[in-house]
Amino acid sequence: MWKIFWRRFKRNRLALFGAVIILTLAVTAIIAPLIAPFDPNQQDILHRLEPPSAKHFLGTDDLGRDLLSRIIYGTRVSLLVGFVAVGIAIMIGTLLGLFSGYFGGRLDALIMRLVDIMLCFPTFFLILMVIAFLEPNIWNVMVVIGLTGWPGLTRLVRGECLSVREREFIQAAKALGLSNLRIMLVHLLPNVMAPILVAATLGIGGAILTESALSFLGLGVQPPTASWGNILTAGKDYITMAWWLSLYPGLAILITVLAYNLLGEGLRDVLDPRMMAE
Amino acid sequence: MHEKVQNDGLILRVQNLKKYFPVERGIFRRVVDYVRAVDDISFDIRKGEIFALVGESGCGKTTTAKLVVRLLEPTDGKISFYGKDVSLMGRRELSQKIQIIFQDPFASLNPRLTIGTIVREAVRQRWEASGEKVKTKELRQEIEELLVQVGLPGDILDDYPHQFSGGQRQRIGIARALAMRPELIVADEPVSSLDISVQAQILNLLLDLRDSLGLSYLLIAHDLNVVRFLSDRVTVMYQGKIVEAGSVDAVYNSPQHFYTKRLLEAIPK
Amino acid sequence: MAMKKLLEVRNLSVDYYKGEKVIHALRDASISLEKNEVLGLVGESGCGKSTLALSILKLIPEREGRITSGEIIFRGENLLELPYERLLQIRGDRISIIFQDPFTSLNPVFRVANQVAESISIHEEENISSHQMEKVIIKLLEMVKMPRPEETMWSYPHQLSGGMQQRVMIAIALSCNPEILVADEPTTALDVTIQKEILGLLTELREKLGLSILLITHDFGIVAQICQKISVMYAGIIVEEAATSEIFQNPLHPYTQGLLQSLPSRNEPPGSKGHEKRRLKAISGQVPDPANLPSGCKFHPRCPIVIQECKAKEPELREIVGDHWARCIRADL
Repeated sequence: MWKIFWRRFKRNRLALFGAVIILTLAVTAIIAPLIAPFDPNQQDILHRLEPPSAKHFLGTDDLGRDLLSRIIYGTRVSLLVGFVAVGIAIMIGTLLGLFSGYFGGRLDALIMRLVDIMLCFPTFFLILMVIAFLEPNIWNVMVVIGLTGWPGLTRLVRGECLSVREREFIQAAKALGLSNLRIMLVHLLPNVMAPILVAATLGIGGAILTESALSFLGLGVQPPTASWGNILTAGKDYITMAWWLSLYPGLAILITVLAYNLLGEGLRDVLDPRMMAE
Repeated sequence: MHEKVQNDGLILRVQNLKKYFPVERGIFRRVVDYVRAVDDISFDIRKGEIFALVGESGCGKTTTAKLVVRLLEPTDGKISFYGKDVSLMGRRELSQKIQIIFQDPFASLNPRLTIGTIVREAVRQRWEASGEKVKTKELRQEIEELLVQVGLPGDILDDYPHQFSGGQRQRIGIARALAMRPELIVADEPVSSLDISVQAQILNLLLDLRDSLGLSYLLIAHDLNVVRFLSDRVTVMYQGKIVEAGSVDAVYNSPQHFYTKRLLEAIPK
Repeated sequence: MAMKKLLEVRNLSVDYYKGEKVIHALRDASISLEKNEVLGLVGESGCGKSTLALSILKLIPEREGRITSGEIIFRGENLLELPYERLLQIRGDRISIIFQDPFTSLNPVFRVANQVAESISIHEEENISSHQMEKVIIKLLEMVKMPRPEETMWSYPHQLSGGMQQRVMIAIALSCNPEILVADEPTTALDVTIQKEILGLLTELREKLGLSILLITHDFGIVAQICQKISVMYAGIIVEEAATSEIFQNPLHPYTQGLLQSLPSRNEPPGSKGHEKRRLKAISGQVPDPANLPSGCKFHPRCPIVIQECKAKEPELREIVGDHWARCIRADL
């Protein structure tokens, strides 16, 4: 089963490309202390706003900190935010989608109305408001992004459930007398994985963008911790003098989000319905 | 060979069973009419017999099958298992008494689960229902025995349904049903989707299991040749109602109702 | 008196490609259809009968499968070598095909009348006024015994029953008065009473229009009812061919014999129903994987009379008795 998936996955250039980049980023994040040439928080006012050189590959920021090191450590923030935020969104979205799609009726109607309401809010402004009330830090950011990201997935999962629920193997499971919860989690869930996986990868890209935007506005990760978004905050003030402060973090965000999107699109191609056909 | 006594009680009794599906119209979903899928039918099944329900598409036989296994709730009427009202039984209790085999071997097995998992779900359920503690090694053994009992090798536990042919999948479905040690099996068109040569194997298997396990069958089918070969008694359904019932010989040799006659005449050859 | 062969499929081989596997769906298959004859092509799933049907009109997409060798001779021309435009002319006009599930064969968003009209207007040379077209359509629907054709012709497919949908299919197929009708499991999706009507209709049309029919099915009952000749297929090749009565009374190939013996209709249990039910004489094993065929005779792993030579070389199709052919070295009267 997975062998077929793997074979097809390998053939899909885009997905492969995305996967490679993401793997590289993940490794970078993990071994950051080993590869960063400088301590990202070490200030060196004498050498502030220096352009890229042999010593500082990407230059220094307004406090003399090495940009390359900060960007490398920023990878950690981005990946963490991506996984945790999307992890939360997926758990909520999948559970609600499963309950909604499996039981139908009033519960379904209720959950769907909830989804409709959530989708009416402009997510970003909702997050801004919430963060404004709470303290801006990485954990709050992750949780809030997660709590606002589940509605779309709920709909997708519910849709899949509706079609799978009537299939005979689910009827057979019911006839065995298995509890509804067990049927949902053990029998139904593996068959609705496809949209979840796709939504997850695309969602991570979105989460990273949101976090970057929040950090850029000063409402996300707070300095001195390096986040690509808050590097850009400093960058915007010196954009004419120190272009590297804006370019490189921007590129990092671009490449990362692109990689996730490519992976997500590739997954969408590779996964069903063709997988079912085989 | 066991002695089968047919007169020792009715394993299933269906009385005045009705299932109406509401037809809704308009945005407020007003109920304007009902589809009378099953319209006041009654029949009995004796222990050890193979009882067939025949008819063409839309006659209500599949709905009846689902009602007996309680995948659907009746609108009215009573179904009793050895005299006990089925609606009073818990889902678990019922699943150990009556099980079902489905028509489509491709759709009746979960494509994302291994054969081992599919059958294990059933065996576990039976163990839990009878209060036994789950022991992995014995569990695996029982799964393998079940597979062998339906004519499959015991080492396929890690394989997936798509690796097997229609006939093999149908056998797996039968193994799953047998795992619950039921006394009555509802077989909903068990061989309709199978090739002729495989059909013969499965029919033989059903008969062998009937003899070795003392099972009774409620057979739902539209192929009159299969029904004639397999069943003891047959009931003909048309548009939700029973139009004729009796022993297979009686119905096939001297059909009374005009629809039965039409059905029999339509059999090629 | 030699009967004129209307359609001759000679040594047709078709391969399907699935991932890295090559599936030999048809291997050197040959059949012939005479004028005004109903030929039954019988076999189980995977034997290649549908592939053969689709190949006649080259309906297998290039991506999925390729005809690797053989010829299909129709009226002196090899259909496989015709230019595309010529093939389009023949499709629907000289040779038509109907499929198993009428519901998926008809376009759900067009009314019946439009679908029938489309077939006619493509193949007719002159322009037909819509008034005339209506009359033609009504006549066609009457021919296929469609109830109230003036009304039903304006229905959408989903508003019609399965039997009526199949009649529409037949009407479309016969709209240009073809010489050959290829029917791929035309009644499998229908109830048995409707099946009887459709088969009766096909027989009637054969007589009235001088049609030749290639009927593809797995149901022996159907072929017994309307076919004059039967070809039995197994693992991509013909294993037996004879007149219908011959096949039933005197099957020569072990596979045919096995199939007929496994039919429940031929196994009448003894008079009084005891608990001792006779078992069907089933063929052991299962149909071979087309990507992984056994050596020699493809049926040998399941054959009750297999001998050593069967495993070595696949037998030729030989004429055992007058016009009764079997592909078995042990087949004899």
